[in-house]
Amino acid sequence: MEEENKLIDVKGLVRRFGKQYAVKNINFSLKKGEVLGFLGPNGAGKSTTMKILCGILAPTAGEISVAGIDLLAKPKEAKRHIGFLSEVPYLYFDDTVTEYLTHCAKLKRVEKKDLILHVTEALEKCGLHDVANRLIGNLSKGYRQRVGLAQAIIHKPQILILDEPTAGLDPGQIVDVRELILSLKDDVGIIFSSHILPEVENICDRVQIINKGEIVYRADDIKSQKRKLCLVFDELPSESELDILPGKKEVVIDSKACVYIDNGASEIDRGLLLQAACEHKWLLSEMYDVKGNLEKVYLNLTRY
Amino acid sequence: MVILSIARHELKKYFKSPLGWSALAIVTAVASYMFIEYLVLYVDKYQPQMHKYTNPPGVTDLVIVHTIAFISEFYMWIIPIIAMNIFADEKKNGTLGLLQSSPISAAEMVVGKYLGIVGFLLVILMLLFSMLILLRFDVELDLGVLFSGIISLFLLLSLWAAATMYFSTLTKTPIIAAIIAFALIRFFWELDIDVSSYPDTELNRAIGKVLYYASTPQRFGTMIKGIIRTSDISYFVIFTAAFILLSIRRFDAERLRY
Repeated sequence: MEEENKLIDVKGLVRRFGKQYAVKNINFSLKKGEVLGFLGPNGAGKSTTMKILCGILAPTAGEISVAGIDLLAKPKEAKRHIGFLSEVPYLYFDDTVTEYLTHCAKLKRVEKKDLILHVTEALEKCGLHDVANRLIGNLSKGYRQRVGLAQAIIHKPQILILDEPTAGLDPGQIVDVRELILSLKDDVGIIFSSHILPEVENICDRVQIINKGEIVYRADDIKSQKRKLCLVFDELPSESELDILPGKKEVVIDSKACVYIDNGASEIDRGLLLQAACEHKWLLSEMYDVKGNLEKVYLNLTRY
Repeated sequence: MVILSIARHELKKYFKSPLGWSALAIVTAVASYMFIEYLVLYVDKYQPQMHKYTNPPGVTDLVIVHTIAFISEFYMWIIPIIAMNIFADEKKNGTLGLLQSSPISAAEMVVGKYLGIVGFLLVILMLLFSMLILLRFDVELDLGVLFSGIISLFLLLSLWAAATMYFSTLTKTPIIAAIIAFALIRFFWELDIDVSSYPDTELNRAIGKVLYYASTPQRFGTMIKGIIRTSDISYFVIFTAAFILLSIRRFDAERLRY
């Protein structure tokens, strides 16, 4: 990875509260178009790390570069490139949505001539048009979350830092937020924290698990792990027949015969597979995507 | 200008809350009541005796100066209540992060918020001023004294607001900020002690001097009568600036504290 492509580059980040270490020696970087998932139990240091990246807290030690600018030396310039949605969105309940977003845009130093444009675009993207003139205090939790998101993207930052953006939302709203994140993804780099493992697997390109202030696990290409396919047979075909299947194969026989196919990063054509199954009269009873082993890894690393 | 945006947002906040409106209502009600009280007192009691003196005090001294002097002591209760929310409220609601994660410095944040409350103080004083100036239609007022009174009141309230703002950076509970600020304001108000009745020693004279320079009524009392001195103005400006700087430092320190 070249130095210039890194939107965020964190080296040796440490943050101490008194004698307590919230963050111990964290290193990572983020590229454009990438979604980096932060996983970890409560109190692992995720929020602290995110607050440090946004310049709310200062690190005890370490270097942070944001879009090539040193956050500690030039915080004002660096912060322009960051949009932040905190765990509890920073909302003024006495403002209407438009008033609030306009105020945020000014705080984020959006130029006066672009103000209206930025606010309308943010309203549009987050589906807030219907509530634009309502008081934030009167909105439901899902809408407040969206207002928070609109606040984070109002100045079109290169980096989005989202601290549990889907916490407490209903399933429909979670899908909305996920779609919104994926729609923004191409132009920005996103750091995303969550407790919900399937969600992280769905949205993120890379994952790191933080526990007790340290990164204990990194998965640099979690999309490829999802490409594992499991075929369940009532009766296992002969080895020569199985050779037709693409990719690396792994055969497991317990009550049923399972064949796991790992085809690296490329998609497996299921149509061809089914065709082959018909031709050879295989007794294929199930075929499904294997979820990544994130849950297993997560529990192993953080439970004890 | 981002400072002005913050100030405008802060000022609007007062008019969106019942606190701002009730403060305005109470302050105006008390001021107008005392104004009429002093006016009636003047007409009934002082005016009939005026001819006995060669250079009698006028309406300005007996009505306006008295009203301002009375109302200033009343403001002492109100200002901490108005200003206690400046930061404590945001800390409690967790909205301070919005300002802290924005590309603005602690100084811009503090000064912006302070200008917001100064705007609200100006509204209060405008109401008072428009009431006092009404007298001008009937009698000849000493406008210099009136203006000097309003300016001194403005400086006084600005100082108190800055002090309350500083204490509101220290706590999440607004009322604690108000109580501490009120205690401090009252302390400096009560420093106005006459030491001449105590034995005339070196120490007592030194104490007297310190008290003279530190007490708020000493500074405020001369200005309200229309005597504007640099030393009095400096007193207010220096202390106000000190509290603003302390607030700024507080945020820089909080960010770095470990």
